[in-house]
Amino acid sequence: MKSAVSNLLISMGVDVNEEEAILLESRWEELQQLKKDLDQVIPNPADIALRNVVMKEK
Amino acid sequence: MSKELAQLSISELAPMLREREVSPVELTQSVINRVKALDKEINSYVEYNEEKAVESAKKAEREIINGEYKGALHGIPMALKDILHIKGEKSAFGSKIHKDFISNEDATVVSKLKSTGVVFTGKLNMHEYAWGGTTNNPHFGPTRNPWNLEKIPGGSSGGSGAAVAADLTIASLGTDTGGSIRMPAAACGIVGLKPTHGRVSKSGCFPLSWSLDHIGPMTKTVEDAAILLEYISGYDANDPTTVSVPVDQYTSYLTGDIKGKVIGIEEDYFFHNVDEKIELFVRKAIDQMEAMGAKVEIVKIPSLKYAQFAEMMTCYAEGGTIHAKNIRERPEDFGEDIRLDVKLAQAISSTDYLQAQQVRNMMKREFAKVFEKVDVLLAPMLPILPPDIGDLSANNLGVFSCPANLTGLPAISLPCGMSEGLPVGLQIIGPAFEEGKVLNFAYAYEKTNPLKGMKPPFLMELNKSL
Repeated sequence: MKSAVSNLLISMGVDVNEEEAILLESRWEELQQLKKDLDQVIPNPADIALRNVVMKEK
Repeated sequence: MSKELAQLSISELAPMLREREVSPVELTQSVINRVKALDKEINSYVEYNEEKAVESAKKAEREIINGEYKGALHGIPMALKDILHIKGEKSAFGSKIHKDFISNEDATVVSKLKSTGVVFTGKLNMHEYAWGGTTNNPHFGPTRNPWNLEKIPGGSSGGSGAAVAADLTIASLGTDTGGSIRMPAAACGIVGLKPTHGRVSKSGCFPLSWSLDHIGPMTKTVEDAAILLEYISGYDANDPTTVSVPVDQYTSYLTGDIKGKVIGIEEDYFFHNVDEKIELFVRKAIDQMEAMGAKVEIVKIPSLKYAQFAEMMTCYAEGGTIHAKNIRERPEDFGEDIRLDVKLAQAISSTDYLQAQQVRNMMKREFAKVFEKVDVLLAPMLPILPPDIGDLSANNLGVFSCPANLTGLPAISLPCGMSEGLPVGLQIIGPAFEEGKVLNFAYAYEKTNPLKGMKPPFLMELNKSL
């Protein structure tokens, strides 16, 4: 049985074989560890993270 | 023993070329002869064209003789990372998928270098699509570290790092998304500068991650990095990420005087889990700069705790988008190591990506606050010495490099010693668009001659036969 991340990728049209599924699960777990306690430090949702840089025709 | 021409720097060669003491043709031939003799061991070039390079050198020679001297780069042989478009020439970006790609225009930096009279000698190997730090390329073979051929040269600009270190090019350009100029600079014992984001146009450079990518010089000396930066910098209407900030005369900042300047040291992140020998050399470098009159202040940057989260999510989301079509239609044409990364990248959510941008904003604010009190930050470049080619512990090499990509701040790597026969890199990070300050700190430290003039041992033997 493939992991949640493998199933997600397959649903998005990405092929995942059995060997890759094991490695992907392991790497996905490492990524989730990087997010540990993130919700305690992320500033409020109004903190603007993206800029809309306007282009003007000359 | 006097150096051969290919072993000299831009600043040493420029007056010789200008005064016609040396011909661009003999200089180019000196470089090509070394490539032919040495590169089968190192594998830094993916291709070189002797005939074309000599033709270009002859053109430069005619121009100089006719009084049309263009400046410090005129007649200088350079090879570039194979990630830059060169009009009418193949650029594979280290991949199988693009192995036959020919661009119909030059990258902006290539166009700028062409106008200076640079002599292009060829294209340099890289990690596939710049997505990795080893330059162990499955399609073009691994590039080997000139200091120890069993070790990686770093990446993704490993071909550039190795070629500069082995005098197979006088200088090069690399790209840096999570350390890909600075890591090979550290591993190969050369100078690598990642400028401020927006300082150098990326038009015509194949992207890894749009908001993290930078192009910068990889050189034998700090002065050469300053020279190259002067020529490649500037606003470009073709690259909307470039900024209309005047280009400084960076070489004019190189006084070597850092008396009274303040060096910041952040220890919780940059000195965590670093090889003790590397830390020893970096701390010795800090002591040496204190002896030159600089002061040291300990600083805190708490958001660095999430630097790797922000780097991974941003690079995955942006890089994953760039390769979204091909990973679905032809996954088998990606090398095994990056195939898994590109697949995983497709699963990154928009929430993950945008929270990563919020972390970046926090980091930028904290760095800006720190730079109100200090002039530069000093840190190790790599957490470990370059590992063996194929060693999977090479996976976290970018831990100290990614903050400068996330914040867009200028950062340089230069050698600060040797350990177990391998160079150790020192990183200097500065405020936005203050490359002159960063370069001057590097220049001041460089004058202590940390490598004592050493060159890779196997080259010392082979040099005798050239």
